Amino acid sequence: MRPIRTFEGTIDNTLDGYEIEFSLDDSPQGRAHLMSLMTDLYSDPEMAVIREYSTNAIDSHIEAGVTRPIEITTPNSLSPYLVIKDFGLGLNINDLEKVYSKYGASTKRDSDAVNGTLGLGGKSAITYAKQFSVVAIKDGIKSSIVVTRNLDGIGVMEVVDTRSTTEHNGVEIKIPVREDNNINSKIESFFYYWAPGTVLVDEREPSFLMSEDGHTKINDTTFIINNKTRQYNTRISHDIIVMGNVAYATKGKPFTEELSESAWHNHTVTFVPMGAISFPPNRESVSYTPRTEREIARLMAEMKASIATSVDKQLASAVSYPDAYRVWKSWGNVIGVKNLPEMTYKGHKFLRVVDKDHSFINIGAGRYNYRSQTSGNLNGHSGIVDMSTLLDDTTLIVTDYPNIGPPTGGSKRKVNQYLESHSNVSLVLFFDRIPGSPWTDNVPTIKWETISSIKIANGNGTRGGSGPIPVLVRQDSGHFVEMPVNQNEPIVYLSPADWSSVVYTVEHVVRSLPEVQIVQLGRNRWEKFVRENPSALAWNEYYPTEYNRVVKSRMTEDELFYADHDIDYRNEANDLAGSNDPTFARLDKVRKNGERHLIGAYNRVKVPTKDLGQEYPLLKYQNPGKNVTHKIKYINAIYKGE
Amino acid sequence: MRYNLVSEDNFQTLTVVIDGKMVQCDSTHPYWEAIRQSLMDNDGDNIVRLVDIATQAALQFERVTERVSVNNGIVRFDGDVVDNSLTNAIVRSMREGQDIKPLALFMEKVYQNPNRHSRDNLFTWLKTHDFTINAVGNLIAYKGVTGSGASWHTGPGIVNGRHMVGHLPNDVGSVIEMARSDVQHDPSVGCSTGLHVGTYDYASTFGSIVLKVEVNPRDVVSVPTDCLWAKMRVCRYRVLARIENPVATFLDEPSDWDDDWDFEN
Repeated sequence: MRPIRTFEGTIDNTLDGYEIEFSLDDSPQGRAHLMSLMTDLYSDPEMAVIREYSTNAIDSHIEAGVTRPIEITTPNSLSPYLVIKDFGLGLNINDLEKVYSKYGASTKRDSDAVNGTLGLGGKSAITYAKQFSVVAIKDGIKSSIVVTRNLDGIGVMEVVDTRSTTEHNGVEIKIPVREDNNINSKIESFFYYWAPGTVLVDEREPSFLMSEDGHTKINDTTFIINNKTRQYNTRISHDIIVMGNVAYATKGKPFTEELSESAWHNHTVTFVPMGAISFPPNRESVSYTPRTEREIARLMAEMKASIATSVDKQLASAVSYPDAYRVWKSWGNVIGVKNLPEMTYKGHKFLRVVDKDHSFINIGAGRYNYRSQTSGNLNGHSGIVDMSTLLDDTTLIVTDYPNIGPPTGGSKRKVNQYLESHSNVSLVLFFDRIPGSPWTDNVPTIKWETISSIKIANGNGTRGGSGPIPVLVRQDSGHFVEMPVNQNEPIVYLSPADWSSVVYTVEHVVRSLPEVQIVQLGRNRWEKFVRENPSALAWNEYYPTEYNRVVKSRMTEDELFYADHDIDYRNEANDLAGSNDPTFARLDKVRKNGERHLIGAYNRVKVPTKDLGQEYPLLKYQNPGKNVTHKIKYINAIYKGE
Repeated sequence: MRYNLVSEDNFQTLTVVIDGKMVQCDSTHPYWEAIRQSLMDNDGDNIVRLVDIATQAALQFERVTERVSVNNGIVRFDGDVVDNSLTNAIVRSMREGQDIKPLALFMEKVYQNPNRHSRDNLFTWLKTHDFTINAVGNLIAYKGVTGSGASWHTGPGIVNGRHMVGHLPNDVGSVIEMARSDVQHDPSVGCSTGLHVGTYDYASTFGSIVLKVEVNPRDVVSVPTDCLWAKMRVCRYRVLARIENPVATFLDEPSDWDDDWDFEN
């Protein structure tokens, strides 16, 4: 990157004095002091090494025209190194000397295509590690260097090896990291602003802003991030300006503060060309120079214009009132409805809410129901309704409803029955007529008489009645659904009050015997249910006796044999199958081929009686897999045969 | 062999060059003492071998399981990169000279946990504490109980297959369980339903008796964020012993309980 001039004015000097230009102290102590200032200028050395070496790496790819990604290997306790590898131009000894031993030297000051310019970043690792290594390949020569400090604290680059190679040009930097580092999370946040395809972290693409949801694209360079829709660790707390793959956090919210009072949770990320803003030598923040201030003002104006253009364009292509409303609402969510310019669609102003008395049933929003593990519904009535709710596909709008007020029990039951075949509905609104014309003119509605004509099945939540009792039957998902039972398969019933104490055992039962139908039924209905289903058994009648009888009937003799031997026997079976005691071979055979879910089910009720310690007491104190030869000798010495 | 050893404030870093190959490590390396000794013995080949613990771990895992692989220092389970807490556990296991098999079993059980969020919660716990596992790959945890050996709080539960409500007896050898769906899954909820176990320090603040229990990592449901992640909610555990001191090593003595004993799949 071409150096940015920090002074952009003019000088008219008539002092006519004796000028002494500033210079550097050239004494050894002075040099050491200045170099330490340039080395230790980072407040966050971990982020500095990630930033400086990865931008160097991608710069090298850009200059060499290489399109493959650079590769980062993150540290962990098995391999405590941060490794940054590129396949770009490579470096020879002269290049290495320039990059790693000369402060202020840079090879990149003739172009704005690449990041480097300061001549400082290449040395940043010795502010973090006592030494690090670089292996560079250029034009068939592989050079290895170690960078460290001498006793005066001055950086030293030591060439430890050069040899010819056929490997591709490139540079690999390996930095030992401390045990208590935060490099992984910093890598995650640093590369978040890179473009897909530019970097692999541990052989995978990291999360990129541009590949994720949770943002709105304003134009090709500016995005608004909606923190509310993002995981906590990917939320950002500043407006960000990205230049040359480096994200600079601005002070406060220069963009979003003005743009969006109501959308306080949103922030902008703006990509600017190299050189557009100023930054201090450590690249850790934005320098608020006139250049930066001008760029922020320009970006601000560009963003506002882009938003206005985008909204107009999308409204022009809207095919209906609801379609237009959704466009308007979505932009309102991004920048705040109040910040949207005054807009109309086909001459009609957008409305946020309409005044209209109505009843509602909010599906699943009621008090949590512990027994059924589901939520009930929230019922009520109100005088104001949100326009976006009226246009929402999951809202069922019922018109010609005669009694606006809290929905009655009968109404709720009929609605529930209707919703059994309309599972996408999350809210039911009852009106005499739908408000919000013309926005809602074509919204699908259903007349109340259609729902009120639904016949509620006898016995469904009411006392008395005739015909089979509709019961709740456990599904594979673990939930209960009202459905008829299958008379040809086992039926086990239990009361809702019993359910919570046996639920885990029920999981075992249906896992081992999937055909068993578990029915949840109030005790006052048991008698009638058993009359209708004579084969049905109450839970206490079924478990454990009948359950275990069925499980046992499905097991082979070998599996029953296995089930009667404790875990120590089983753990040793494989290793000791060659001993004289045939028990181990038999157990090993079942362990490899048996129906172990049935064995587990059987043992749940009937525990093993054969304890390895009884037959072979010394084996009880040996780890499985160890001293196998000795164990076999021991068994053979004790075993007397059948 | 050529080398550069930098020492400052009891912290040392070393670079060794042998035949153009460079290896680096510092004094936090698990085999640092052996590396230093090899340096004094001018045994460069041994230094290269000792420094590269990732390769050593890879060889050990190859012998016991096909599901764990180590490549370039990255540990994968069934091809997916594992959480760093498990990588740290590998290093702890190697540092203590333990057999890698219990850890391989532990990892298999961790990934049997049906809920990803529960696994992430568990990783937080593993990351925060120097945990212990046993030979069958179960996690060792602790539980404070009343003087009569019953749970401190009341509630429903299944003790050795019998459904009970109240202060649940936690006798040595007992298996205590409850429906996974009844255990509070949300880690931000501090005190809620579920079987609670925790670190020794946490457990010893409850009741007069501390129990050592083993938990199949599959049965961990959540790690509440209060109490500095010192407790976890599980749906099943087994009581191993009454104790007065925590287990200090990575690997506990062999357990006589194999969880597939009563729950084989």
